[in-house]
Amino acid sequence: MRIMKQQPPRLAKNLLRRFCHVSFIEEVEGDLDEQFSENLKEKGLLRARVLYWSDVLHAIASGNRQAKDEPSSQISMTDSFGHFFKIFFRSLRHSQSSAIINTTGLVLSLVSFIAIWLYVSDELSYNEYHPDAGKIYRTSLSFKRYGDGVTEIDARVPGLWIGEVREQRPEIKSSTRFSKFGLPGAVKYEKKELLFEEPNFFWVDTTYTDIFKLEITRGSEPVVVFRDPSKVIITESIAQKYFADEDPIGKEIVYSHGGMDFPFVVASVMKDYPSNVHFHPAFIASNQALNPFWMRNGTDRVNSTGDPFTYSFFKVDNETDVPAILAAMRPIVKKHSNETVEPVFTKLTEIHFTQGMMVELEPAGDKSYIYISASIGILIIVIAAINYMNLATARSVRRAKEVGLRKTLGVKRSSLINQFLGESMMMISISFAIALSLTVVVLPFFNQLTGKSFTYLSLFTGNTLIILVAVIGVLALLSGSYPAFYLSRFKPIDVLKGAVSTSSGGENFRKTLVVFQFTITMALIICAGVIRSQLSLIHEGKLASNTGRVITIRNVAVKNFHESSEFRSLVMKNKNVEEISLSDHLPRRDGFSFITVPLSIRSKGPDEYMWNAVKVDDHFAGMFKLEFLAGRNFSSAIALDTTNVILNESAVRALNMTPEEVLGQEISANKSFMEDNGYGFGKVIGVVKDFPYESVRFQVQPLCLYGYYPAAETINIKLSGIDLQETIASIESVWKKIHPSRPFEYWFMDDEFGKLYKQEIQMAKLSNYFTAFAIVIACLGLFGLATFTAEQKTKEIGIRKVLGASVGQVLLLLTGRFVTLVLIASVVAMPLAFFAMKSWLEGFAYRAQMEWWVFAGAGGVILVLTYLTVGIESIRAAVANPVDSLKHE
Amino acid sequence: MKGTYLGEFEEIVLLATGILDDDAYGVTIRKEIEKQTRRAVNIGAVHTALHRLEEKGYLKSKFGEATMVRGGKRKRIFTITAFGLKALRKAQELRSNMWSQLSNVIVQKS
Repeated sequence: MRIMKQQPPRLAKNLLRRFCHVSFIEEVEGDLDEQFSENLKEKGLLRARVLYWSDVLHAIASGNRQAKDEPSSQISMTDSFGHFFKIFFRSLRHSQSSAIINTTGLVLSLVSFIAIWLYVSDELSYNEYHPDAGKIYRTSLSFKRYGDGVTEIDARVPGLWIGEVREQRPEIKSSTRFSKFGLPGAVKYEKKELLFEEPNFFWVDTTYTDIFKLEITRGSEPVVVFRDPSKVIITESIAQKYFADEDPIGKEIVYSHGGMDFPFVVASVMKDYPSNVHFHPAFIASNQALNPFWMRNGTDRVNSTGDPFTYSFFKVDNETDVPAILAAMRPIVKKHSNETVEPVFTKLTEIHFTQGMMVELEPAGDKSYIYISASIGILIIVIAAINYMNLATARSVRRAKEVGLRKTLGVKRSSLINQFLGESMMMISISFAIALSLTVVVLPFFNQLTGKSFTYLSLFTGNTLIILVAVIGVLALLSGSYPAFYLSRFKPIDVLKGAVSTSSGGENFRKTLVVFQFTITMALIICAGVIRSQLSLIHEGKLASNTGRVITIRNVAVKNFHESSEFRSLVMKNKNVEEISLSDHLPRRDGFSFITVPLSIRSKGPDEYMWNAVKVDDHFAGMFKLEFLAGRNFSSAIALDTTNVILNESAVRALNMTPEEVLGQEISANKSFMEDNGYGFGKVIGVVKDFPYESVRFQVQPLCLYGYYPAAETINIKLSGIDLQETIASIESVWKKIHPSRPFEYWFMDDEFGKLYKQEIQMAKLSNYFTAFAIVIACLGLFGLATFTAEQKTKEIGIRKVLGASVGQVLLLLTGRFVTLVLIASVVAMPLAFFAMKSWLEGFAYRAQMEWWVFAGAGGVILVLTYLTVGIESIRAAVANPVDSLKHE
Repeated sequence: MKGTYLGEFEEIVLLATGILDDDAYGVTIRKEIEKQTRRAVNIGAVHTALHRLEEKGYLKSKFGEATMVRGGKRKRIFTITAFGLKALRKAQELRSNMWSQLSNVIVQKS
């Protein structure tokens, strides 16, 4: 009894146990007890108790303070980390099929995304190769066309203009000019008897490197080379082409143009420009080198005030100075030309997307393709994210028990959320790692598709990696968020009782996501279909139904009727040659020669019409199957036909006459064009139906066919298609015999037309591939979902079958719901795709019809794929023996 | 980390632990301090100081035996570490060094 009384106060002890931190309780309680018993002996019960109370309170106060930074919380961190991985791998093992579906989908979508990102960022970074590209401008000039007054922009300006502006505006820090012929020149390397047509010979100022980057890999500095007109810089690929393994420095090559030869000594080798630069020199030499050649009418073409022959660039420190420079340029321009001419400045970084300039160095890009690609990339990612969400929520029933149990054991909701978000982060990171390595593997193929030159290093340049990591973060958050917040909300008691088996909310959410996915996929299929039909329109719109078999040879501009007829008769001897004709380069191309000629019709007065002019011979119309609406073809028997012309339908329409009325009209070219270009004075002898001689992006323009064929630029030869190589070789031997000093360079007309649609063709290929990816990813998700549904309904199916349902009925039950979803998706997708494609097609003068069957086909494809993916699982479920599924319990 | 600064009370607790050698735990340390300084010390303050010193690495501890008088609870026996000794010595050096300078002034003044 007395012993009991001598115990420390119980309330104080409980307080201590309640509030003192668990790691200190043993020693503190022991110490206090010992102290108490000592105090009891020395100071009596009352004082001992009071002291005990005070000690307890102090201990609590200090004990709590200690607990804050005590080490055990760190241990629990690493514990929970290990725990996280354990749970993650367990749940992976538990649902292997959905893990595989998820990773495959994610990997595919990430690969697509990375590839598209590379493409888009490459397109958007045009010319950034050159330092300070944002401060470099090109001056061009706009002018009103003769006659019809349409404004056109020539990318070039006369050579002396930039110098005059620079004298007035000190804001221009540096400037440079270069020139380039539209027609390729022939380059000879005699030692190896090599002879090539080289279109990319650049003639530059000594100041070239003030503005543009030029990386010399061997040989002298650029400035040194440019000071000596007998030296040339070549690119690495040219060095390889001509000299292979030999040392290119000091080798002599000969450049011939217009019948004159210019020898050059290779002084240095430069790195090839990357794909995202808007011009690619292969040879660079001083613009003084061709001085004797480009004297025209007593003036130097490069240093002229009236002949737009140079691409002129300048660099400023401050972009705000540009308007002042433009203002200073205007009077200079007016002084040297007429009132309608205006200077136009284009920033170097914007040249790639500036369309519609004449004599542009390389075809401009189309921003709408960038938008299309970027949206495809994002949509594919969204589809994969939806897969993840769907499968995760579908599996939630399985994991609901886990959640319930863990919550019962005291796991907080926040740590459950972390668990699920962490899991999606892990899945996506693993997929990302696989996707990165896969991308490196498929890059060469992608390069072939897009004509770019990406390497694995491209993945690490610029902000590519940062963007990718950001995308992954967003993706993980997006796809992990629903499971995380939805699953963690479960009440443990409901779950453990089995109440949350299929919540209708989750079901509806999944359905919405599936509809969304199908909408995207179907829209992509429709778009791919429309792009395809537009391309086939382009294909049909080619000059001849079989341009693939037409080869074109650069003609020699000799005004010798005899030579060309001799060539013709020799070539025609080959039985595999069907026809041969002369014409100007087709499709009509900037910079190749005069494109448009100012013409006047005598009966219409002095008005001038700016029309396309093409020189052809008498075989041209037959070879390309031109249809005559009136009049006749050229004839070699009629001498006057070399000055007569044939018009196309559009030209006749422009004159407001009927084809019959036009016949016999007298037509003459503006005097400045008459010289010796073959455009003279003649009569209209025929009218042909419009035929495509340019890109179908543009309406067919009025065209004037001239019969002055000896000056035609090219020889077109149609082959039978049998023994192609052999036939071409025999043509080459004939060529060598007649023109021993000229290179035999040929190309397929098909390829030339193809170049006009390079971007469209690329886009079609890309959209085909990525649409296929999207379909695969969406189907994967559907498959996962179907598997899950079948699994969920095992018992239902069993009972239905016991009660007499047939396999067909069960199948209908399982697939029916998905079919409804597809139907809803098509209702949404079709108008979306329709309007998107309508705006794309508006960029073309000739548009493919959006056929109803493209839309129906897309719906059909999705429906069939749905049946296939859902069907496989459903059939398995439907034919299963009900005994197996029912005896489980 | 709170750094290696040694407070006055901490120094006293450390010294008391050293003096008690292998019988240093909460109660005995408090008693020792009260004996040496002749002032009342709270057991909670002693515990706080002990754990802080252990965190700094000046002390290490292990559980000792449990006794009836402690209600079956084990003692936590503290022993001074080499690092703790070094810290004590440093503190002493600092003081004697300062003392040596102080005494000069006082000598001159008196």
